[in-house]
Amino acid sequence: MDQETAFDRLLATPVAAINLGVEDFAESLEAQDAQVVHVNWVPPAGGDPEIIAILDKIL
Amino acid sequence: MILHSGPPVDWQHMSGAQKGAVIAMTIFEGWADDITSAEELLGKGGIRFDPNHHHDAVGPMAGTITKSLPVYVVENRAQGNRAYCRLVEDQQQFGNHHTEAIDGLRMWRDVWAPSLAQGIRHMGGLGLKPIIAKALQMGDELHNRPNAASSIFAGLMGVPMIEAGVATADLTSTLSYISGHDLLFLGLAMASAKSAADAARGIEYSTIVTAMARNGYEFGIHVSGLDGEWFTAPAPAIDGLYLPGYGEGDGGFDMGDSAITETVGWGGFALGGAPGILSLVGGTPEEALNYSREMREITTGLSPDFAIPALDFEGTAVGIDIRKVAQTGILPIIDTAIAHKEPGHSIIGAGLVRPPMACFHGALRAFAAKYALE
Amino acid sequence: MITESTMLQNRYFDSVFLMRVSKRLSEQPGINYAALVMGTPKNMQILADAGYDGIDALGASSNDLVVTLKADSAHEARLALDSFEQFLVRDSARPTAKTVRSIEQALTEQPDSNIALVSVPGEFAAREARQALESGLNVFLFSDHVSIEDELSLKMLAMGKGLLMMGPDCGTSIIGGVGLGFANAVRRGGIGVIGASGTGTQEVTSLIHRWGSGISHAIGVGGRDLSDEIGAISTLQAIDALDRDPNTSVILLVSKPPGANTVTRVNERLETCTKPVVTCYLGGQQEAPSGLNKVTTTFNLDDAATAAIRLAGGIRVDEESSVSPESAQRERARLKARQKYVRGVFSGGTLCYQAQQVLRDAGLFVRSNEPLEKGGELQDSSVSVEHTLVDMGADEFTEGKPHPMVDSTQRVRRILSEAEDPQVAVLLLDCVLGYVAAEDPGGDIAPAISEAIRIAKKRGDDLSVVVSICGTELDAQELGGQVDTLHRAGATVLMSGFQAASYAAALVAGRE
Repeated sequence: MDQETAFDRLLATPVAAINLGVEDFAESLEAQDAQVVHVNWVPPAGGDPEIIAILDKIL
Repeated sequence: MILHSGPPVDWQHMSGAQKGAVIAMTIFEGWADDITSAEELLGKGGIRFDPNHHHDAVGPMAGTITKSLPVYVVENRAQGNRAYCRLVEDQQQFGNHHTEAIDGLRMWRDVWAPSLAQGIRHMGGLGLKPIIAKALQMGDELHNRPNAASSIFAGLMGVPMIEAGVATADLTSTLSYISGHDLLFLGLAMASAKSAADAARGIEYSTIVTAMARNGYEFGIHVSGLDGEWFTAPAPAIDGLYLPGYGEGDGGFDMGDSAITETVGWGGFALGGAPGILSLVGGTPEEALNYSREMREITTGLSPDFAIPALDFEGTAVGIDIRKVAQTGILPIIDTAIAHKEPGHSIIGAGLVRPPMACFHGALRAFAAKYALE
Repeated sequence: MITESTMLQNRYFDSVFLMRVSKRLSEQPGINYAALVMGTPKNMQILADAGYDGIDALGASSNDLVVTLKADSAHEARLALDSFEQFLVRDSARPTAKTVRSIEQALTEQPDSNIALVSVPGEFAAREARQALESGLNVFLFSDHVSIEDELSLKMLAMGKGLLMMGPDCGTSIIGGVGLGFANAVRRGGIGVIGASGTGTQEVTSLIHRWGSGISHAIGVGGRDLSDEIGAISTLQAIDALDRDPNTSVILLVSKPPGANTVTRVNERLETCTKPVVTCYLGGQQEAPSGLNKVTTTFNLDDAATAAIRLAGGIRVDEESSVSPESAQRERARLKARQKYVRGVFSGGTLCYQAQQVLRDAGLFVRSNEPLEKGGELQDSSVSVEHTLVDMGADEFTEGKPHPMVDSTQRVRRILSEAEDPQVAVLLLDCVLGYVAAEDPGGDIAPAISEAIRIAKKRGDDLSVVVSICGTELDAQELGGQVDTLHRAGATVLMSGFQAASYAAALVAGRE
């Protein structure tokens, strides 16, 4: 319990974010001069659940 | 039998351009005297068809190969396998079945191919890897822009043909042919790519694409761990530019085995190094580079042999992985020529195209079934 | 059709480039077809076959560029030929944005990444969150519609790696002074907030700032973290972290009532903190649990902020209020006897929840689409019954539509329909500022407020509109201006949700 965790480190270092989804969140971080990379996320496998299930096993 | 590009297809479903090319080969082989009788013979099933890929071969556009048509023979010295490709030209392979188109094939059969063959045998074979490596650094991508490679090849063939004793008239004719032919090396590039890709076939559990091929009707892929199976979907339309007199309504669907070049990391994958083909892409060098970068997301590694100066001499992206294609939604980029939708025309344009995602999804489902994933 | 041609001598252009220029030229006014080719015999034949007459007269050689076109008029043809050279000049370099499409790629771009913000559709959210955790990233999971099984599995995975899963359904966090999601701009200070509720966190951090103190971090844990199914996994991790954090001197936990088992575990852990702790479990019965010495128990967000500020060594600096007991009396007096009910139209779920508690504690029976207790459920969310407070951010309103904190269309509609009811005494609204929220939330509802008052006036009624504002003067929406806008529209503006709900309760107390 006393060992420093990755979350402890998050609280102690500047935020460097990866944003998946709504771009507004990335823009908000940029407006606060925080580091952020926005991912142009699209549903994997065109959203096909069967293919997603297969990919989850073999990727 | 007539071998053709792309996955299996019958006469009923064959695209207009491929029908034209097939009619031309029928006349070329003397199985019919003219277009009408050729059509009759083909219509009643008088000639068998098979994909080039089933015979270790590839062919550009309609890709038609018959027994009398000389082909390039490329040997993969590391693996010992061979692959074959027919000549590249801008007429018959686009579906032109008129006499001038067939005459071109006759010149190839009677004069140019035998002369080149003499020269190559005299040399004991011609190493293609150095030419390819050099050309990729000279602005070629080896599919629609193989110009530098073609020049290098032409330059190398003169002396061997003379030393082999090729007759002067044939020599002159052949030298004219190869010096004036920007696209010549595409045929050699395709056979080289095929010989390399074939070495990757049949590896258990492998999700790597070993062929991409189209016949104007369907687009098909082969996957290493699913050897022998075609995964097909309707061939897409090409987003392209047209020669004077032609427009979007005239084009046929995607056609040719030439996507074998993209399969090994050339062609569309090497657009970053081919500024001459930029206009097809829509404008900037940055966009061309982005295509090459984008392809890295769906491949396994970078080629140790074939580098692109514009990308800081990083190797071309190699080993298309069907899992990555499905996961990212990024499809391989192919730059290609456009044939007319009807027989009887030569090349009408060029552009960019991507395979249908359905091919990759189909392959993944088959993979899951074959390897009994829970 | 007119065919016109020209030639540029001794100019070489790549054939593919020329095809592109041909396309652009053919898009010029009045131009039907255009072709640019090098003047080789083959190309000249192609042009002749395509019907470009008179092409031979140019006398072009293979090294010359031939330009020919077919136009509706000679004039348009000339114009095009006089200006086509501009298309031969390459466009100036357009900057192309590098497209990042995956977490993997993003990590190559930014190897020091430490957190992923995930707001993709619910059916894909767990998968992306899992990938983020497996890549060693803490996760702020805004998406909802994530199953409880997935939430548990993700939180276990996170805990095993010492990472924090904030969410699912986590709308607000502030980490090291940076607001994630819907958050307000607040000064840094010693109070560390753990919030199982978005607007609860926003309200409490805004009050702490405005009343003179500051925030070390505000950690969202998601609305279900304190349920018995999840067992406060993220909350407990957050308590550990804040207890260790050198920048935090007080810990403040805000939530709806935790599960019966979970509340015991959490309180036990809080008792062993090295720092003073304040809890605020909204909606429950207001008795401080026995045996707690370390923990200060509060029951509303105002008291929670006040207690935290005191424990951090400060005092609450009160703001000027625009209301007084006298003004409340005057407003009450203007209401007709049949005007009995409070109708709340909220954008913030927790603010709606707290308001229900305030009205309940004032002896009123309140219904809602997100009720405090069983029995308070609205039959039809779009139809208010007696005292009703509606959370417009609930699923039935946000399926395929923007959230009310971002877009006020649905709230405006509801405000106007409530104004039609002659039994309504008070409209109770919230106005939330901050990052990602609407540019002008006050301005977006002000016209509806004026209109609602006008609708009531037409019947001869005075309608009280009470608005709480949540935010700070550092927020981009300009707190002062927002208050003014709402005042001018006819609303009574209170500076916290608790105060607004209390005021509304005072207006209708004893009227049934």
